[in-house]
Amino acid sequence: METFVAVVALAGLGGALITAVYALSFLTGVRGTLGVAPFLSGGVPREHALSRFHVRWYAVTMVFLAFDMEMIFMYPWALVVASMGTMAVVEMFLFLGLLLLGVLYAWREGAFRWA
Amino acid sequence: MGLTAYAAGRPSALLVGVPGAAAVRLAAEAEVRRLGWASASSPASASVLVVCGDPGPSLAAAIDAAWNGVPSPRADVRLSSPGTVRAALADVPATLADLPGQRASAVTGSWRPPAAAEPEHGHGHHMTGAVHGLAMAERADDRDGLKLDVLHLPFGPVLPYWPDGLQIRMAVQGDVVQSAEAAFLDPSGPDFWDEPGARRRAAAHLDALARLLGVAGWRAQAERARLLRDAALDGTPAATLLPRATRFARRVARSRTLRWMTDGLGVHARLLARLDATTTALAHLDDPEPLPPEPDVLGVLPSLLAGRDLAAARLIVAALDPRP
Repeated sequence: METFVAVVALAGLGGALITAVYALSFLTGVRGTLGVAPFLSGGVPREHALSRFHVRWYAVTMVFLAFDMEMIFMYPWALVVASMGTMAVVEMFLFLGLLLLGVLYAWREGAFRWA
Repeated sequence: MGLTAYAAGRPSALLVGVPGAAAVRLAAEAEVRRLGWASASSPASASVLVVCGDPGPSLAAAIDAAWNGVPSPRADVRLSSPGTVRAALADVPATLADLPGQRASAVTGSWRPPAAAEPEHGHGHHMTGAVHGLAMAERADDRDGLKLDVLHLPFGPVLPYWPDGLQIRMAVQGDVVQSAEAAFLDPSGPDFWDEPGARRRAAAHLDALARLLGVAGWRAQAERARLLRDAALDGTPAATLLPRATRFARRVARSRTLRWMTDGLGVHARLLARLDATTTALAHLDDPEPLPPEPDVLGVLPSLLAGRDLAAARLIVAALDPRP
């Protein structure tokens, strides 16, 4: 029973504090909210700025996935590599080499051309 | 109340220059520096909007749009001559600390795009309706032949480290500028910098250098260029001015970071040329021989901006520093 008293007291204290903060804001604040235009150095927007991404970011996403996959497979590999021996090291580096080929291909296709 | 007065005594100011009235802007910059106020980079971070000069109708409209974005408590200062600067800025803390007045004039309500913001061209076929009263962007081929949104963004006139009164309307896809149109809003009368004399010419170069260094992010040297500019205009003798300017020029020219940032855009070469022109003008302060006229760069600006990203575009504008 006493645990519940503590919980209710804490909830009550929290509620009172929140109410007090809101009351303070209500009493001292300016009514209404302010919505302002985007800052266009004195101009007005002609179109909504919601826009589609350039396709090159999708290529960057793919490259990120290649690096990400390397990392994911290296975590379990790091646990067993000592007991598996040379074979595990060779296999992992073959796998890394394959993924690196993908990265090199993306590089040749201009995925890292930022501007 | 003491806290309000303390906060109101250290506002951040956004300065807007008017073409031809650079003298007012220089006085306002010096006074803001003397008072220890911060300089704001946008209306949202400003509490004082300082208009330096008498703007024409289109510049006044842009200033009003910027003023609407300044949150309360706020103060606007309209200066028409350098002599009025000190008194006008001295009144600002009292205006900001006037709580009943600020409360009564506090801006509320949501911003709505004006009807004039409707795009006037209707040849697109990807209009997917309006969001918040604004049309969606139309698409056009980019340099890789992909269909991408085209946004039309004005740059200037209310922008820090930007030539007074310049407005460049850019069409951008992503952050790449596709096309640009540059014009000065309401240029009037003779330009302050066009007056003859090596002193005036050197100060004009230093003013432009301050803008370029400010855009490049080297605020300390930008401030130094402004101090040198004010010293040059104040009639400081060449014997004290020239060593300071030479030290400044050597320091800026030597910076590898600045070179890496601006090389390949033609900006660094222009920076070096301008540093050189500054020290040359200062070395010939007492020479009565007239200096060659400055080339007009406003016309070539659009062709230089096309194909650049926005950061490079701002550096190029600052390096060319067009004048009305």
